[in-house]
Amino acid sequence: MKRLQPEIEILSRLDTVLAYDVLTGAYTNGEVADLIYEAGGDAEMIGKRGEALVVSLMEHLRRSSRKENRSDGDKPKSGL
Amino acid sequence: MKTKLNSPLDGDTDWAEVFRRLTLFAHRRLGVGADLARAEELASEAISRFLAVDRGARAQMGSLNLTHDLGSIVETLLSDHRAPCAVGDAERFRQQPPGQRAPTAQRDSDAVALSSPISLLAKGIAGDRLMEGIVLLSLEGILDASAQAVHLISPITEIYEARKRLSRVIAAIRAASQPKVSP
Repeated sequence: MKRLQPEIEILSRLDTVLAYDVLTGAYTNGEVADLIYEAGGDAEMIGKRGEALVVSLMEHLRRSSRKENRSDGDKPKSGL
Repeated sequence: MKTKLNSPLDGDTDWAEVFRRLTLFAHRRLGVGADLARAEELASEAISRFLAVDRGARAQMGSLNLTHDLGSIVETLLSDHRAPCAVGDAERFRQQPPGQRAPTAQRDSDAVALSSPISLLAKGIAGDRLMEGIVLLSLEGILDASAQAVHLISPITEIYEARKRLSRVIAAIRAASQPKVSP
């Protein structure tokens, strides 16, 4: 098994290189959906959850930034 | 239809597609038999971290490749301690006995279980000029598909297809190499 470790690492490195392809135009949206279904997932639902996550994160960030701006405005202006 | 993936973040970003791809990427990086729910968690965490970075700071980072940057965050989250490509890997692959690199139609998992990963890889890609070229170039550190297209004097679309075939060969080898766990 020890002897196989470097070989498994070579495969792992190749796999890493190839995994990045799913983040590029190498795979069409349809192919990505098919691969997700093959892995036992629901591509449609995953997409929806992702969208919802981003909407909620953006909203949270907007609120935090508004709060920050307001508390900056409350601070007494120095040098006046 | 929104299809922007590799561009910097803007209002047109198709987050559903980005999230699907990032989940699939995390799933592949988690390895054989990985839980898709865990992959989705990683994708969520990567997006949270990405968006938490101040917009101004992101702008200063110059031109961004959204999905690639998110992929890098997933890598960080996985805390993968991969060693850098070792010198001699390409050589080791080239030195496979000729018999083990001979063309064969046997690429099923039964055959996979009978030999070492590298000789199985050699068998799996034998006779496919592009897959062989991609393996050798990758082991030499030429990882980018467009650079590989130049080296192999082939259109990028053919390189993409060959990389997909190679990915399937590796997945089969890795699946067959997994220790069998009885229920």
